[in-house]
Amino acid sequence: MDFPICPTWFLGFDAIFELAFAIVAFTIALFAYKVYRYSGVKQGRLFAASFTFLGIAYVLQSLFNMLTWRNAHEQLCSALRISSVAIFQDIMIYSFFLFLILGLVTLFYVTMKTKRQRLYWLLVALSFATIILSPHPLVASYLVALIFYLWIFLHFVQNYSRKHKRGSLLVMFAFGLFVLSATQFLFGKTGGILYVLAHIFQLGGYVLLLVNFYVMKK
Amino acid sequence: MKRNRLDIIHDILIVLKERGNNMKPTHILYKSNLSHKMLKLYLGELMEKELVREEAIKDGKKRYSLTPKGFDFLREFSAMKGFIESYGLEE
Repeated sequence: MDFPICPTWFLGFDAIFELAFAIVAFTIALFAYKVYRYSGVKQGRLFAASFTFLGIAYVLQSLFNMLTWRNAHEQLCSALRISSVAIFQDIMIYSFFLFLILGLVTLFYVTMKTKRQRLYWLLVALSFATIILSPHPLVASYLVALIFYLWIFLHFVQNYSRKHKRGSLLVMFAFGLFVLSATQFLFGKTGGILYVLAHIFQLGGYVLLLVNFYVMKK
Repeated sequence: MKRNRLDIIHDILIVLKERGNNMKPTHILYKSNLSHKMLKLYLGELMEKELVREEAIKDGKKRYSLTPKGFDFLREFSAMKGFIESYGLEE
């Protein structure tokens, strides 16, 4: 699989950014689970699962980029007695997309407010079939992610238009930034600066989610 | 406006807290504005979640009080409500 191109000066920063995304995602997942435990709101459990998947995806992505930054892919492969570095890198990238898409499908399913489990598994199957059967898995993965981000964003736009609350506004803007970020990632392969912009947009989105979380807890 | 699950749980717990944290079920019923059947269901669930404890007093009568976890719920309630609202997680 191809990898997104990161400018050399941004190497390492991307891994730190992704680790920060993971921390925010896990924090939200933990609180969503607490809401589920206390209130019995079933959406809370699925919501927690979706952010846990996203958190795991970011940890994997951060680890991959950390190894790239430190030039340590080969060292780790020899330590783990893996013969091919390319296979190891493919496994890491595919694992990242596996968790990212699982997280987004789960989040999308939550926003659908449906109890039809078959719909969930259909979305999972269609997403992975699209990625695996595509001649350009990286582009296909980002495209699938972009489509889910767009639909989730529309849910949050509707949610804000119903409530007009500060929290729903912050979440709507956060997911708007995630849509922009996913768009940049889609074309990021052609230019390094887009890769950086995608990370900055994503950071903006997670900062907004964190601000919303802080305001709620205050 | 129709109350959701979280609001009903909150109303039961706040009634317990504000009324000296030791109440008979009939008083909770009156103050929380629920039917007998619904209150029984909710109290069962709250005890299962360890938010409320039941104590048997004389003549088989029962009294209910908040547990430390119940007090914790009340402290976190507005954050949880805000969380559900901001992500549109209402059922």
